[in-house]
Amino acid sequence: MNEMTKNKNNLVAIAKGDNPQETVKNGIEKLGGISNFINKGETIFIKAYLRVPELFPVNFNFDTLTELISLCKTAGAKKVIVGSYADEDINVSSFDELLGFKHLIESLGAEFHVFQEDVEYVIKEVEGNYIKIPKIIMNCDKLFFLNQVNVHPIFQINLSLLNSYSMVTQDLQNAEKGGQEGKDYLSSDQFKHDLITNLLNVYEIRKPDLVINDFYYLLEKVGPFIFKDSNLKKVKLMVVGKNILAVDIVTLGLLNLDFLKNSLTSEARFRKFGISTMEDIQLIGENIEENKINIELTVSNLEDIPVINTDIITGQYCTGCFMEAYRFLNFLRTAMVKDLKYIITQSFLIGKNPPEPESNENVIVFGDCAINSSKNREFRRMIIKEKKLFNKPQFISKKKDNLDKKPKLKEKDNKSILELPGCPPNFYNCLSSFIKYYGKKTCPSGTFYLDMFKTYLQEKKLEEMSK
Amino acid sequence: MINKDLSRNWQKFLSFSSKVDNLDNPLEVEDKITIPLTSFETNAYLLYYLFEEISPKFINDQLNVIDIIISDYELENIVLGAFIYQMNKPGIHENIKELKKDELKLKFKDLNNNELLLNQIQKSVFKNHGIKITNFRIIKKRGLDLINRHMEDLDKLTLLGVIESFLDLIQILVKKDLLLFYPNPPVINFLKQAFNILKNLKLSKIVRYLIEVLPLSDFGIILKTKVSPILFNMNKNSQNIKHDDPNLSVNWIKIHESEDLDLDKIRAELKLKYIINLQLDILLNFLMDIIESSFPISQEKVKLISQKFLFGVRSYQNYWNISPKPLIYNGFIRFLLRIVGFNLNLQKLSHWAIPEFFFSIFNSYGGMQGNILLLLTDHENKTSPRYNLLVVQMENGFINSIEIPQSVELNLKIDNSFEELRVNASKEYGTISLIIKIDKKLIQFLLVSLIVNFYKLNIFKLLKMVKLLKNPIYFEIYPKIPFYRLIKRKKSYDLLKNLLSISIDKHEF
Repeated sequence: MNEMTKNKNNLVAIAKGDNPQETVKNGIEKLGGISNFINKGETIFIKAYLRVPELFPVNFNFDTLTELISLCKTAGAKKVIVGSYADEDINVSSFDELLGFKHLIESLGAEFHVFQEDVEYVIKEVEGNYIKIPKIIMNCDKLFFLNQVNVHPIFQINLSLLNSYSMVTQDLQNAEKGGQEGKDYLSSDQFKHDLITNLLNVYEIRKPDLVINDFYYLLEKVGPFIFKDSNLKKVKLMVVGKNILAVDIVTLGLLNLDFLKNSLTSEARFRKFGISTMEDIQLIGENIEENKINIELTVSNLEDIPVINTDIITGQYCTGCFMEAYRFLNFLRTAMVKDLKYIITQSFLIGKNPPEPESNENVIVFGDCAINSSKNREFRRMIIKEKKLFNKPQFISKKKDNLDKKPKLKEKDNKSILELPGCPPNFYNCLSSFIKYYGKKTCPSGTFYLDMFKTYLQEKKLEEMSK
Repeated sequence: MINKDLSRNWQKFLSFSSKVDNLDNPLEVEDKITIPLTSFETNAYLLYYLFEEISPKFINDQLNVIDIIISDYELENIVLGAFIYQMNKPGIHENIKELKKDELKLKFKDLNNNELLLNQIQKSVFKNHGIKITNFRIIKKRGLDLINRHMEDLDKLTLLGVIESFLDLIQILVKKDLLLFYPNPPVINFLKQAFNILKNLKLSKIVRYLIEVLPLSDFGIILKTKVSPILFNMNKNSQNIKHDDPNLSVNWIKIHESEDLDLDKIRAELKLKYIINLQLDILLNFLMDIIESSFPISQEKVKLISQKFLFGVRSYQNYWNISPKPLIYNGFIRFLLRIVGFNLNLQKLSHWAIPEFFFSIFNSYGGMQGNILLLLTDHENKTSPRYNLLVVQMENGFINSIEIPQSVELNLKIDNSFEELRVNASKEYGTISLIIKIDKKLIQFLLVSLIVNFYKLNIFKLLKMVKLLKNPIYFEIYPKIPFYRLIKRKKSYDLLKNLLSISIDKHEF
């Protein structure tokens, strides 16, 4: 290995090119070439960004991956494995049929694995937490991160630190869910705090040997999934390095984002990454100042998501609920345009103690906090005029004052409420309940989408949804 | 220098145009003129009217133009000929005046700055002829040679041949910059960008494919104009023509002002299978919307154009009409269908929701960037090549280019599995995200049912369409994205019901 790079783990290359293949190659060459990262006969695991069976840019850029595998092979790697855990509800056995990646990756001389719970793993303890990590990752000689950078509702952009999270089992990823009741949990946003802690713990188990933040194309405005208004920007840049935090900080810098204001990178500085300021990073390649670009980030308030015929009313909510509500609301405005027109009016309540909705009709209460804190609220009750089965005709009525008598009012439960429980609620459960509540005739597009989702969801999820 | 037939016909048209304003009733004129660059003869006033309506919108609304023929290579003076048209109305060419040799002198470097060149020409022409030129058209000698060759071949060509040759000519002239306009008309601008997307794919090939699948005969299109309706009649009533070569005629329909257009009567008289009545204004405005789009056309713009088109489709009896009256518009049949769960009221087509819905599916499962391999098969053809390959390159959800793969190796491997085909094509074009296979029979069934036999469209045809979509012989997507998986899994009846509820508003009023 080249002595220069071996001692300079904080070296980060900014690469530019006319296509993704050329850009990733440039980046690695600037760091001394792939042979600086691989010895002959080694097994390489490429942790790609892979979440749901949708195509680019929701997942990694295949052109970048193709070049990376080819470079590994040229350097004499014995085995190259590409893999990741997918989102928890996805049936991974259907993943290949849906994306057809397995054959394509195998044709490049590599292996492809989307992990399930039954994968062989090792248990590691970090700061009192037991984390399961697949043996295949722990035992590989070199670990590479290939991360697709898109805008992200919580961390501004998908950082490599975030990508590292899906190399451990779903247990840990679920650990922060099912949050505790209490003022502090919400006010201190314990969910986010736990999420960041877990993320950084994962990193400490197995540190990557090469990190690539690919933003040759970057999804801006609405992401990380493709929603209405999502825009794919051709940035033509990639950031490559060994130190994950350094790569993420430079990426943020290129996108004109302050890493000290990013909750993930600012927290990571206090861990053993060896980086606390920009000066700790040694930059090579393209000039950071000359290549800075502005991107449109996602909205940070749910009220700013323009969902038609929907009044979004928020109380105090945690990051978990925000993240799921963000996805759910953006899905509604992207895929269910017609359905929303039929609905005419609805209120979407989220968080602890949300204000009263203006209308009692179609009140969607999202998440445990909103459900529990609104048990005795006015919108739960309705005052209606009592209807008699048979009304006496007026000419039979003898007493004159009967005519002036006011109709009797009756209080009853408001049945026009849809509760979406969970902390945070699950997206697929929410969609299923939403369609059940309004009916298939009101939600034709939603029904079609739900049926599409069902083609790749896990059996247990399908059972849960049918309840 | 210019083909004699073309020149003679053009002179005839100019002479007619200069007399139109003096005619009491131009509709009564029986003079015939050949539509320029084609072999179709039509009524002279009809052609004049179409020029008057179309030219200002699509080409130029300014008066007085100069046509310049230039050499293909540098000379002392590259101008080989120049003609001035003095105009009284935009789009109507009346008097032609040829400039003397070397009256206008140009070098290739002058073509680098069109604004300056126009000023130079304006000054020269105004000084010598007292005419203020507002725009110029320059054609290179090679372009003129292509036009002449096209004209010479016209007599030997069938109707389809004439259309193909005309489209090829336009594609070469525009793409290779053999024809230059200043100011650049919206239509040329649009065509140039559209041809850039088509790469090595000829527009005539697309049109040929469509004409092959669509039996274009025995039908008529009536365009309602401010003057009188125009009938485009495509039939094979002549004994001299071959079975696959219908006869096209374009003529006025002479009706009294107070009279209503009786489509059934016209159809019966002309022995046509069906006849469609459209409004010329609406059609031209719609085409303008498309042509004025700047490239790359954003998805929002495509959605808007699709919404307008679908709004046009739903505006039956307002914007358009058809004879015989389609079964699908029969209230009683619709009522019966509603009872069995199908909502099939095309006048309630959800024009506002359909593009949004399908684009969101395409973005999620087709990706916003990547290559799509389009495999057009002809399952029933046992003799000629059964496959056509197209590589469609997408960027930010928009088509960036369409290309016919030239690689012999790739074309030979079409018979291999989709996996192999994807691997091989990816090596050449970058990652292929999707392979979409569509058979000619499916395209034919869709187009015939929705266009030619629209008046016969019924629920059973729609069910057959869905069944064909589910049959991998006629339609297949690789990898099996959720959209395709759902099509395959869901029963035809349920799928059609769901698709109709997405496509048609549930409220009748």
